[in-house]
Amino acid sequence: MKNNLSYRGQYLLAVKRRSRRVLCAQLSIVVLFVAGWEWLALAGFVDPFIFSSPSRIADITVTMAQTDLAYHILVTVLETVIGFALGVVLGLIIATWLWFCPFAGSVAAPFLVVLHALPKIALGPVIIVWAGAGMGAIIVMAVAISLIVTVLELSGGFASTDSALIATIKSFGADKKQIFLKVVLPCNLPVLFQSLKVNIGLSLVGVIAGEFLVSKAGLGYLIVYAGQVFRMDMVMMSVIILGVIAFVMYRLVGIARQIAEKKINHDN
Amino acid sequence: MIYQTPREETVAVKDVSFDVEKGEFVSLVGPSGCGKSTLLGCIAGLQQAQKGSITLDGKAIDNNRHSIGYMLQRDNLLPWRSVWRNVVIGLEIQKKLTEENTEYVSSLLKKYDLWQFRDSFPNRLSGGMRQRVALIRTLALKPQLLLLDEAFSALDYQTRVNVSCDVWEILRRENKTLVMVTHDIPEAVSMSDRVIVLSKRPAVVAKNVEIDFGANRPNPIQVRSHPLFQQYFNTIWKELVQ
Repeated sequence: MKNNLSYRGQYLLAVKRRSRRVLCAQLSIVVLFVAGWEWLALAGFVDPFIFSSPSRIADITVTMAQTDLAYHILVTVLETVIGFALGVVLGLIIATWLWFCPFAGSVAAPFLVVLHALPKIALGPVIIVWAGAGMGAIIVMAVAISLIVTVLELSGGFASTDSALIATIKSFGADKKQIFLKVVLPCNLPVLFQSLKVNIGLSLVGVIAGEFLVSKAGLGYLIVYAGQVFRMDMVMMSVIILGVIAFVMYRLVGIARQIAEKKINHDN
Repeated sequence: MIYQTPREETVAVKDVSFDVEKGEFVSLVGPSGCGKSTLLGCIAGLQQAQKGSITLDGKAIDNNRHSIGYMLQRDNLLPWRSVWRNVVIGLEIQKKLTEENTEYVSSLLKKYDLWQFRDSFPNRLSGGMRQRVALIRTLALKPQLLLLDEAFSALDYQTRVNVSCDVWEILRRENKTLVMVTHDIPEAVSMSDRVIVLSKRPAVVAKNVEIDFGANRPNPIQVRSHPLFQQYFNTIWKELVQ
């Protein structure tokens, strides 16, 4: 062999190279997309008034950044994070309760399925009347959309926990609480984090839908406003910022997962 | 023991009665589905029989549950726990993580060559090692009586012969009493002092076969080439096919 790297070194190098190549490909897709879009707009193949263009989006972002863009972003992020956290915490509490009390689980099952299938946005007017036309209604909307999925996924995961593991722990005399904390919950960590990831998207849907219906600020508000006055560059800007918010939240959930897994290896 | 489901009821075990001496190793064999595992589950207290009684040291088993260790088909180690934290989980659950007990667990791990793996996770261990870890996890609670339910059936042939020999030696050395369920006749003969053959469901005791390889009994691997081994095998086999 020409180089003097060990087998292990070569392997690690190959892994590193591959992830670098993936990143390169991803970046070039973004660059090509933006450049292509700009070119199509400049050359007159697409109407920038309808489709906007990267330079226009950049322009408006810079302009708005000097006024109130940060405030709109903050409002949306705040609503999303609160809605997301409430959805997850309530979902975890309800799913746990349904596991501890199988009777309640059986009773709840058909209701959950109906609630899951129901388009929660249809409840929009009702939610506004209940929670008032403001941030409250938007957060309730976000929770309404993400909560039922969380409950369904988690209680499904809890119910399908490996019964042999439970029997083993039981043979040591574990009570229900110990079974839950020492086996069911750690077993379902992947399910929990999977539903967290799904919930990011769902709470954003809830927040934007809520902002469409009632709001004086936030990216959803900006989108509705810009749509009405035909400012497609402002719509696109808001959508792109939403994408960035979603991406950052995914990453944070990923980090939280790593921390939780490490912790469970030590505490549970 | 009768299983109830909305559709039907199944009588799994009907009239089974036997005694096990302290330090004795007993195997239950029988046709598949005859209720062997149910019987063991009842002794372990995981299932309740409608009739009959099970006593340990003259006391009803319900008041004596902590003297029983129960091992199932797979090793059932928790994959997110290290070997050490797997073997102490029983103590943790019973809130007996005293210095004396952890000392005892450490000595078991050292004695059975697992001490250097105490911080490894189960997926790094071989099937045989995992089974030893599972056994130590059970022994950590110092049970008098061990129940093994097809404990080796998930292992490949070579490993299972080795592990059954390991387990036999460990249990003999630690002076435990063993009741095991298996469908593997050579395994039953090689490990037990007595084999109880059960009939088809609902199970009753069809025959008690005393296994006697003399005072200085060879270990389960060596005993397989003992002249009497095949004879015991045949006796049990005949009983089972009837």
